[in-house]
Amino acid sequence: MTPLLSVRDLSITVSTPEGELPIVSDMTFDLAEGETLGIVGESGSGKSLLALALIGLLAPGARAFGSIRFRGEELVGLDDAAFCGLRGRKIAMIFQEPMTALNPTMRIGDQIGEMLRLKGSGRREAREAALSLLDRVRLAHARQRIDAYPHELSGGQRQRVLIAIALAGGPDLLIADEPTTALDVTLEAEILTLLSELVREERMALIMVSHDLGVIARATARTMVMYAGARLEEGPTAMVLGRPLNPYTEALLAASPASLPEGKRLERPRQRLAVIPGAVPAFSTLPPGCRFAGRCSRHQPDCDAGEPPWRDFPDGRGVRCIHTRANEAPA
Amino acid sequence: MPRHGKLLLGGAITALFLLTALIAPFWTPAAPTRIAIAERLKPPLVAGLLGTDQLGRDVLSQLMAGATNSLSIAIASVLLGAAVGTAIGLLAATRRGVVDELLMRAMDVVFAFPPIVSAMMLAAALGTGRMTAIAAIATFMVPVFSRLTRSAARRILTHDYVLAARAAGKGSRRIALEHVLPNIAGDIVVQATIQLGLAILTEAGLSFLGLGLAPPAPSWGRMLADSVTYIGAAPWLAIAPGVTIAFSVLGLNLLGDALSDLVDPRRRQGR
Repeated sequence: MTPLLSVRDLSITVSTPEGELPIVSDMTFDLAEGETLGIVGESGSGKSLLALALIGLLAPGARAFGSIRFRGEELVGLDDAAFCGLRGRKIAMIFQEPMTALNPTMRIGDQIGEMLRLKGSGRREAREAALSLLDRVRLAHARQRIDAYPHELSGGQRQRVLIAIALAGGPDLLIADEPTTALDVTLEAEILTLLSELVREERMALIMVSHDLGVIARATARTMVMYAGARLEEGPTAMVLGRPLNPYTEALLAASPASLPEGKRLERPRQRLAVIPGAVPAFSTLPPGCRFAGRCSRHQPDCDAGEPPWRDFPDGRGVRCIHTRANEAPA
Repeated sequence: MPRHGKLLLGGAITALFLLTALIAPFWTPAAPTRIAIAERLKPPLVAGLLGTDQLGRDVLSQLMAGATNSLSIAIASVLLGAAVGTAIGLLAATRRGVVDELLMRAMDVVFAFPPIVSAMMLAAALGTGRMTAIAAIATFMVPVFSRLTRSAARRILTHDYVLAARAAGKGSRRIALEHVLPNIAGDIVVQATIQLGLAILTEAGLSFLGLGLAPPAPSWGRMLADSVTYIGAAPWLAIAPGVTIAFSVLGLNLLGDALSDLVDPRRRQGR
């Protein structure tokens, strides 16, 4: 069976005054119908750029190479008019900042109904559908709020409206770019629960981009760890976060507060949070070998010999690190 | 001057002129074009509130009828210029690239001609009259609105909700009309108010040169032109239309200024 989304050797370059810089490179992954994938990494690791490439909204200076196939259709190089037919209807996206992702001059009911009117519904029909979508995302008092303007709603309410807009087209793939970063912790839990339920009910696939391991652990079945534009590790979320293969994943886990759900928490005594020394290297001065080498606690001379190849293991995991041996991967 | 003072004063002056323009076709103290040679060059309060001109016509009545002509020409030309200019600006902002460059350089060319000069060319081609005046003034409004719209639209196009709208599968035309235009409407209205003052001034200039409405239709600019001969004997003939033009422009500028304070949240905080 062909996967819903199949990314092969995708790289994304951005033109800068210093020339074309490769921001994302050697990206390969599959996503089955209804599957949930978390993409985790530090700020500047290229995860948002990857998300934008998947929905064809790269900024004018950025270009994608390689292959992104959605249900077998090639998306790299697809012209904008054809992409317009996919966006919203097949692939939808939720953005990070609910305060700015809504048009301030339009009532929320109209912004939700717009998608349906685009598909040919009548005014009353679209309004009814918008109302039921607002109920589905559990916006309290939806009937009174459907005529509200965005500034009359709180951040959590706006994020619910944005999710309703994303659902309106009945997409098969939902891309959520840090959907809870701007929300407080209580709301974050509510929105994540809501997203998980909606994904299950609608049989949508979900790509969740986040820098928060707790969010990834809660919302996704598979996880990919990105660093400086390359994937360092991929596998089932419980295994990646429970027994990381890459020293970077390990370091990320050590640097996160014990907020992971029980069973996915790393065994360690109470202590100060660890930090990863240094910063993500600039894309213009990437090291010759492993991208993480400069900050890695298990750094060896042969780490700098060249970029370590990506290796897939039979248990569905994969890693980019020369230290990991096949027998280290737990069966 | 406090912000509300500007708004109230500008609004009041503008409202007064608009009201006058609406009333004048139905009622003026005397018929504005009625000639009475026996009553000629009477000073203010001797004949009528503001005196009479060289043909004995009532100055106040002429000013009132002139308000109708001036404001209707100004409003029509600003509406026309704003509509065309906004469309060009939106097109340039959303298409970018070559289209943007061509449109904006064309605007530079139009902008390079002083309005009076392009009006003279138009008058030579089309003859003088109301339509020529509107076309000439609108022509020089177009670049103003297209530049304003383009820069404001480019600012809006960087907002998250435009990206979100694109992610929802909307094309650039829908985004321009539904997301960009409503969000820059405030800027355009403010600019239109200020341009209205400029349009009145330009219309008066055209009439002064004989490129506006054909006589005997009353016009502020031509009243000013006619008064030149009698400026020593009957200075009120120059003062009345001069003050009228100055006040109408002042009112619109105050109003536009106050509105732009209202539209711009940064300036609102700074009060």
